Amino acid sequence: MGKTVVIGTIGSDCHVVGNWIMARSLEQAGFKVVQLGACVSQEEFIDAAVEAKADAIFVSSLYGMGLFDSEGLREKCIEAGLKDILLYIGGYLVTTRQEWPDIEKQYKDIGFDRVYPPETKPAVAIADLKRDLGLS
Amino acid sequence: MKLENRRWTDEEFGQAFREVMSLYPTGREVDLDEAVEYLRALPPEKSVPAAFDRAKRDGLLLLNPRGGVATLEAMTQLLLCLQNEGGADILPVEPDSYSRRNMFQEAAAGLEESQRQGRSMLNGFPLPIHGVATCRRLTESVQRPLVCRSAAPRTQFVNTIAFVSGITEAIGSATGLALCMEYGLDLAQAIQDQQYTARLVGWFQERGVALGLDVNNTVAAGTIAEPSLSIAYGVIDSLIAAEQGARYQSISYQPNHHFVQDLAGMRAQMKLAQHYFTKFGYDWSGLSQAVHQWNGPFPRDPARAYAIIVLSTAIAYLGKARRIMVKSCEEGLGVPTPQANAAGVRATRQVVDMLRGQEFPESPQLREEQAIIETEGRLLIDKVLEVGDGDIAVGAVRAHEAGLIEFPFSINKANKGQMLLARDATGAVRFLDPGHLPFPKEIRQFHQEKLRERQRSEGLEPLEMLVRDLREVRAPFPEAKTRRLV
Repeated sequence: MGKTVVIGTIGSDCHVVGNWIMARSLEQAGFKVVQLGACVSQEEFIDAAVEAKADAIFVSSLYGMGLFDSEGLREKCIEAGLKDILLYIGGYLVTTRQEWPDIEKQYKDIGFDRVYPPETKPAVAIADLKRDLGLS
Repeated sequence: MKLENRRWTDEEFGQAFREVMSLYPTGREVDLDEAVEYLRALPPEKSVPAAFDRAKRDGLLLLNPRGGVATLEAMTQLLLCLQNEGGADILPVEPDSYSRRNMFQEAAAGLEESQRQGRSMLNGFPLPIHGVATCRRLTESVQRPLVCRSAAPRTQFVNTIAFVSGITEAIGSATGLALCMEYGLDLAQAIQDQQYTARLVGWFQERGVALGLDVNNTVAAGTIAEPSLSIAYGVIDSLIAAEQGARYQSISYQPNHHFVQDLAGMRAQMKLAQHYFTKFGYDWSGLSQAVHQWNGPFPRDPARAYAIIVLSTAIAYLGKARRIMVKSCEEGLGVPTPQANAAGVRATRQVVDMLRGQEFPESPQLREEQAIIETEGRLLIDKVLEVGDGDIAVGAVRAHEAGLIEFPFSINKANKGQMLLARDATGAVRFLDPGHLPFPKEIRQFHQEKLRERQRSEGLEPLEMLVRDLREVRAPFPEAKTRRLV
């Protein structure tokens, strides 16, 4: 089907196990994956997405500071001509205890299409992605 | 400066110190001579090296929780909670991830936002933003020694602030931190950055102030590691620090939660560390071993999280580690509360009290496992020395270029990425693919055979096994097979 996903852990966060597993799962589901690893800046996500003509950016954040790191990502995507790109994020998204709907709302407010809590199975995000891309 | 494993001259250190301290205005508050006086005057109960000396003498396991929040008030409350409600032996000051990477503007904005919102928006305490005077107020408010948990490669600034503020240990690992945490950081540069912290420790040591270095090596990755890798990286990184004069070093061992393999691996690590320290003429009397409670993904269920904490502690105690890094039952829920961290310390203490006086019995299995691990560890370290023409730092860079040593699941571009690991049928970690590691045929076959046993019993593809091993501490037996058995 030739759809491409850029994946990485944003900001100053070095956790990679989650996106390593997610990347393998996406590949097995038939997606082309551009794996950026950890400590990825917004600019690096966008440059990779432009170069690979990506359909989605999968952002991982495990250290609680994802809001700081992701604010403005949607606007920068639009500036770079990626106006329809899908933005997904998953992980430990805040540093304090908060209810999931509140966390999800904060991230949707800054432009993410899908927001996932810890322990989400890769298959869930892949099913959503296929739906969002009109593949299923 | 050309990379060499050689002690920095006073001029080289002085120049590096001035450069580092110019990175942020609070650097101007640092006066090393004044800090020598300040640290000399600290009571012994505030010294991490003194705590390790006591632990070795009395056969103790020191309990070291984690934790860090943005503001002075909240951080003080956190430390008092860990001290008074948890009974921790060593207290943590975890800098936030921005401060660890010298992103001071972001750290300052995060601190301001935390003060405004009345809750921590940073994942740690930004020591560089608070500055020396405020950090000293923090350290003076507790009665335990403190460690700066600066787990990142370029931490010269934050470590300097920590030491002069009365924090008597910091994380330092010449190769391990860069390999674990940064994609683009050049390994030779990373080693030099870490030589700075080790030299700073050595500089204080020469003036009668003992400071500790927590050689974190493979443990920070949150994955699995075959023991010879924990050993090789521990020895390489501690030799590089020893050359700079760091006498008190705590070497980390990453447990796989397999009694025989871990106890064999822990013994082999200390034996080989002493061997190579002796070979190069360093004093190994300040070395001790630390075990981290599982660093990978924790279950959200607190009951299951406690089970992991208990098993890690049993292994650390029976393996005669001198420190255990304590987790909490809320690890799977996000950044744990102070109370949850204190509860983790109490759970750990309970296990230690129950095991007091016990020894793990000698057995042929233990000896056999230790012999294999030791052989692998020697092969790895000797190969690094060989390709470095005797220089361990130069060798580390060259060996990574050639894939002769590999950091498990490293994200650094210096890592070849051909080596793969997986658990065998009993949970011990083996080489699924040893890549170009300098192992002879017999060792390669040993690992293959062990993994074939698991493949036969679980009926999984090699990559499936690996993914299951990364997802959780140990995945349950595949469901279909379980049903067939009962």
